Amino acid sequence: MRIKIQTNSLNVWYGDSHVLQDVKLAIPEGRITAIIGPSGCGKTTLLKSLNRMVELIEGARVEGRVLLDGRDIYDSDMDPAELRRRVGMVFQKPNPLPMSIYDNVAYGLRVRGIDDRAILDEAVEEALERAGLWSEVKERLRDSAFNLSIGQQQRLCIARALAVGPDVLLLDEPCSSLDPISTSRIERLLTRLKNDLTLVIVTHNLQQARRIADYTAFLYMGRLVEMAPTEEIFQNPREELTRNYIEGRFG
Amino acid sequence: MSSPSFFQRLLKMREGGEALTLASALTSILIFASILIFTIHEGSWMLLRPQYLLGARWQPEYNRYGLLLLLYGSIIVTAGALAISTPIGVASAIFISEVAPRWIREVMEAAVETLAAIPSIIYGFIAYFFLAPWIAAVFHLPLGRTALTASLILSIMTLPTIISISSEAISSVPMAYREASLALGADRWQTLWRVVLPAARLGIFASILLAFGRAIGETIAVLMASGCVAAIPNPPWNLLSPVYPMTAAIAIGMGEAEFRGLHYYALYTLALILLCISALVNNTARLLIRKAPRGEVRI
Amino acid sequence: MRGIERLTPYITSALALIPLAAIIALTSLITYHGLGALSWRFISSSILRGGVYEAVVGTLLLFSGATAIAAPLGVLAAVYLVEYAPRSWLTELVERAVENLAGVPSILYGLFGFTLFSKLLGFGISLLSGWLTLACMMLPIIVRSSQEALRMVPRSIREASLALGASKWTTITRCILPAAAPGIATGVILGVCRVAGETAAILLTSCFYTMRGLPRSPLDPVLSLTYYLYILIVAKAGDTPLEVIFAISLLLFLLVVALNSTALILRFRYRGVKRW
Repeated sequence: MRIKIQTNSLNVWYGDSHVLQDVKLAIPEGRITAIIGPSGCGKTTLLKSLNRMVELIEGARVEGRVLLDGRDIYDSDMDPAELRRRVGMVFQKPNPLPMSIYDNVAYGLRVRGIDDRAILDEAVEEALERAGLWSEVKERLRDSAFNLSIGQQQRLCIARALAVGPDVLLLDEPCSSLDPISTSRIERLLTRLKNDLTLVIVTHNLQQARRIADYTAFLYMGRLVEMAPTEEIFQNPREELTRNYIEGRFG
Repeated sequence: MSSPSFFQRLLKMREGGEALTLASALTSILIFASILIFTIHEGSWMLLRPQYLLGARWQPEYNRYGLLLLLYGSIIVTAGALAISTPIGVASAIFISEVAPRWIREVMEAAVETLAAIPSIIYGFIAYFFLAPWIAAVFHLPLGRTALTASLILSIMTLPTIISISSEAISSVPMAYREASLALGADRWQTLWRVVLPAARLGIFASILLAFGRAIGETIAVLMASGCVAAIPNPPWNLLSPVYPMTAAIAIGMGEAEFRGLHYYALYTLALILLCISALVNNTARLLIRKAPRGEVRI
Repeated sequence: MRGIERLTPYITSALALIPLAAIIALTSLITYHGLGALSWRFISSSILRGGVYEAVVGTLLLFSGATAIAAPLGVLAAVYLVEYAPRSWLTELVERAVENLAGVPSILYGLFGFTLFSKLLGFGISLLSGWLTLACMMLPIIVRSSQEALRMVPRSIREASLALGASKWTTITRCILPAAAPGIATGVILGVCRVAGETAAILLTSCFYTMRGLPRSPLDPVLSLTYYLYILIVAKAGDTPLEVIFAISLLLFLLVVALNSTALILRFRYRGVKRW
């Protein structure tokens, strides 16, 4: 089983605050890896380090290496925009762009210079199909994305990310703003997607991790405490800390 | 303790406080209403006798008060000013909010605020003594006080309005939109042009409207820069001719006009037009600013 | 549009130089030419002897009187809007009125002042008419900034005072107004800045071009720096040496910059709310 992303001695500071400490994480290809841990432990920062979105935060400093298929993404000759086409991201709060549904999904392609109507039409349909949204929106592609329900908006954001054709999809607590029905729809969607993609999902919902993740990594106070196949972590964690977290001794 | 008498209750500070402040608040309504009433009342006198207002000449000594001539003067000068200051202003706003590092941004903001605070008489002075002779020299004119001169000085005066309100509009575009765009592989500038600026367009347009209002209401600077000759330039779009904006006519005319004489009423009609334009422009701009997206996602 | 977007930083930086260049050029021009003639003697000697004393005093008189009228009115109006007013049609109306007043061109204030104060109320072309007209102009600025300053006072202060048994008015006068004082002061100074540089409004209401002395009563006309500058340029160009005109401009410029900077410093230091 190949490792898609490997971090080596990853350290991140926000100003003087040492947010991620010496994180060494291996993300397997074609699987769903969940990152769990209490609030504020650095899960989102870790996720954002994987597509260099962490650089947008004022005062952020990154040290160490993050290897995507063996190449360090923080290398000076790696274009962040190019990187983000390979490593897509879905955010905690759905953030549709202020455009129509169609334009949202087509955005990533247009930005790469693809303007051919036929190509875009096909890509948009395919992406919406994969995200399980096509049948619900095919009659109203020109409508504003804000007219969708919040669950639909999140699936739109997934479709939009998929349209770009990434190898990896990063999801930051994608269901935390959603109701249980939308949540389960998205969970099923993610399970379908792992055939073609590597998925990394940050979640504070342990049941969710158990449900869908193949591997789980436990992060605590900026350190990677333990990572293992999900069942192993939940049945038989190696670290006391992990066991305490899983059993709900702290949150 | 016996219950307080009527007078004691009336004088109770709490009631007093509310009444006092309410009265103060009402004075604002009073003042605005007065300005409205006066302008409409005095301004409509001549509207009811339009024979004076029509025609292509403004010659108070012959009782000819061709309003359109003056309106044209105001519009051409304002349009010229905006044609120059809009691209420069919006570009500067983009620079301040998206391009410049922090310290440069603060320097620019201080510069813009200072520009805004300079009294219009000083702008007029610069136009009269420097800009006008320069224009006269460059274009071989006898006198340099023209529509172009007025447009140029007005463009500097309207820059701060466009810059500050547009950069506010651009900064207010929700971070979520920018993040979404960047995460999809767009770079900073693609994000700016495809997402941020379209989202900020209402605010930017409002800034242009407000600049329009500022320019068309400006008196002293255009008085000293535009030449104040009541004639339509030949050809009409010739900016190198003097013009006579409405505000200048009011300022100059009121000094000589007989109270409630024909000239006086004609000037008040100009004032009414000016007030209507100004109110329209300002209220529309405020409406637009209110409708601009501000960080929430409609669900 | 692909490659063109990348030019954005270059094009916008270039264009942004223009306002920067404008202010630098203006400041340098005025300072360079005006500094020579500017001196204490210049400010303190009478106009009849080539100074600007009466104009300086006139300007000070004008904006002091206007402030004395507009500041209390404006602050109290803001207090009503923030502390007392329920969300009613009356409150909406007051806010609409203030907003619209802020957008009225200064010449219309001048005209209004001329008709109402000078003619109908009979004050004539005088300091008094000027005070009233300028006060109307300052009012919206003071109301708006005071509103902002008052809104920034934390709720906890109000709650603490009321919980200790103080009346609403006492809370306002003893706790809220002092806390909002820097923000309110900033607003007043900005209002003064606006009217200190005003010409059009006082042109019709307070100034007379033959006037040269100090007003002996509020019903006398008055001379201001702005008006004096105006008539020197328009009415007597060629007569007065250019350095003198520059010096007056410089004086006016310095006044306005000093006021603006004070407001800026106040705003920066206290961020609108005084903290002990």
